Amino acid sequence: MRIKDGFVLREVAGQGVVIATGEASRDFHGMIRLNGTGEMIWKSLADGRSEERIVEELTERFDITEEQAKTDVTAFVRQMRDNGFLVD
Amino acid sequence: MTERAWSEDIERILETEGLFVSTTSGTSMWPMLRDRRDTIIIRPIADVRPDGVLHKYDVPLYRRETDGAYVLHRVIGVSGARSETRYVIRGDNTYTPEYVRPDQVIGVLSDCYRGNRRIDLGGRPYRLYVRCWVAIYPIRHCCRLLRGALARTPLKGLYRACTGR
Repeated sequence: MRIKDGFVLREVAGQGVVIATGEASRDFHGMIRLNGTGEMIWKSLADGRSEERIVEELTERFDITEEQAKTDVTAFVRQMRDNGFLVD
Repeated sequence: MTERAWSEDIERILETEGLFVSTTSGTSMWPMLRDRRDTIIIRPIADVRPDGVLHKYDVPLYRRETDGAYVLHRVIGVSGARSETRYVIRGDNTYTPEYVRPDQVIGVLSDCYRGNRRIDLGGRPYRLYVRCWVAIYPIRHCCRLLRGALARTPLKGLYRACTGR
């Protein structure tokens, strides 16, 4: 699983925003604002990390349980899939 | 973790989000902005210009009156008296000025990324680019006319060989 070519994260006023560039921008005309957790998951996905590894990272970095981290990562990945940002 | 906004109605996004982030399509702002490669960040005018008035070299986003299309081009001057003010606007890679009423302007470019590199719009390299690019417009215009004339002569083969077209 990886992020589709053309979808990029930009830092704007201290917040992450995902937009489409290149061919991807022909179909996706929006922007997605991410909070800190979302931004971290996005960057980890961009680096090619697995969902399991991202859950570990979240629990290490933030004061949350593994269960909560799993819920967050699963929800985020599902949203990204629904938006067509991910390919297997 | 996410909040989604779509660009069909940029006015609404600017109002609710306070900014609009996207890429651009077309080559009218080349060489500054390349087709679908670079990132623009648009904000309401009041956030960038507290007096609500665009300055020369600003890059506003406006709705073209003829077809309602969103256009992002550069202010090169202001014409008309106070009540009849029109911004004279031209793309960095276009050759026809547009006359835009202040109420057509939706927002203004506040930041941009060229590829992954952030361009400081207040920085010296950008300001130098803008001033030089606008100043050499007459030369660019002449070159374009010459290219067009050359392409219509028997020398067009040579022209195509030189330009790769």
